[in-house]
Amino acid sequence: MEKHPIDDLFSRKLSGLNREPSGKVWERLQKEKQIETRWTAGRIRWMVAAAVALFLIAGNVLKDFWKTTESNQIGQVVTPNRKVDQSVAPIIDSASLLKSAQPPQLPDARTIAVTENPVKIVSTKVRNGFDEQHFIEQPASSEPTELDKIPVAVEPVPAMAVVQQDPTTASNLVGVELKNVVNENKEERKETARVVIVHVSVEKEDASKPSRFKRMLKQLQNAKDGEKVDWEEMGISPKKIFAHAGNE
Amino acid sequence: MPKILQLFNQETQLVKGLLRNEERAQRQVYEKYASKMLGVCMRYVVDTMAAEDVLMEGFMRVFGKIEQYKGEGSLEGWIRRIMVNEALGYLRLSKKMEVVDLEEVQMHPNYLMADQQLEEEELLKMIGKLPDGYRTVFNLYAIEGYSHNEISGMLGISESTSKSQLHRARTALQRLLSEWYETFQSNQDYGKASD
Repeated sequence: MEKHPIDDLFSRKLSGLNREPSGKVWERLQKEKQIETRWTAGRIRWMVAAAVALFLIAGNVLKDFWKTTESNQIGQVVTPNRKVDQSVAPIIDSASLLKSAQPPQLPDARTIAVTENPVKIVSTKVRNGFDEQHFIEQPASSEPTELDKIPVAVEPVPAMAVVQQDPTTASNLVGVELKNVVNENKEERKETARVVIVHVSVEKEDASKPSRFKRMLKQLQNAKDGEKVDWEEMGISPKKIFAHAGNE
Repeated sequence: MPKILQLFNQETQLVKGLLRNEERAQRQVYEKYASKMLGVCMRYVVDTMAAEDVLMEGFMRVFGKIEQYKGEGSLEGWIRRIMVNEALGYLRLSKKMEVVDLEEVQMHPNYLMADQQLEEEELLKMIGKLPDGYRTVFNLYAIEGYSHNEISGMLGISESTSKSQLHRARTALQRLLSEWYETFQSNQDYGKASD
């Protein structure tokens, strides 16, 4: 197809048009490149910081979630044991228990009195927010035999304060109701020493305290409403982040 | 043949240097193509300062997006396309793509004379007098060689609009060439008379 004469004229004359740019163009180009590089580096830093923050928040949320799930599972396991204990052994009268309860023998150690012999905590483990304590009754004279080991199930009862802790942690007082799985022969039991293994679950955290996720949501709501945000509740420290950003 | 190979090798080396973000390679590419590309920009954006801005932005894009160059076609062609797109973006942003109706003129300038006597500077001035919409379509169709279908896609207009813009651009250039020819003839007559 033949080209239009106007197109042909302008195409031939202008397709190879050259114009020398001023020297400032290259200088400006260099400056623009530097700005772009800095901006990109800054953006990468912020992205990394955001990713880390997100990771921490997600970690906290998951931790809370697992905590809740595991504590629920523990509750499910404990409940049938109690039933079994009840069926096997009669529940000791709470009044008699209070009568026989002894004041703490040692100021620093948690003690429990089940019988005339004081019971000492021999080990304390913290698992899933609960203190798991193993109590052992002081042997009276000789070493206990297998038959003499009497399991005693202890479950928290707020109204009864038998277990007393260290005075500094008095707020964690937990009442216990003892269900004694008793042998038939009571006299024989009195004569021989026995080992009482008591599992006491002490909830460390206040049950009424909302979960971390809820607290974070509340802080986000505060931020949305323009109210003061407690960053510690969010699990991040903006001061540290800004300090790092400022240094770099 | 060896020259082509040498050029190809040189271009490949330049591209590799650009990919490694080497300043030396960037400088070489700039020095090699800057004047040609400023000529391209000047055809679209008549103002020299604005054309230099477009050139700078275009090279920023070239250096920043070099990984998108797949080696299909020449590097120069790829850079030229980037410059054209940058110029179009500039015109779009400055909203200079409006369509202006010009009167139809029925003049037939002497193309042979124009070809012999007109310098590229004068032709560039003529193109610069066109409204931006006409100039853009004329540049894309007549000089860059794009089809109306491609132009409609690039500018977001219909094919028929592209065709009408081209027609009006040609008419306007015919008129400008005729004016130039008249002035040229009268100058020649004046010269003969003075002799």
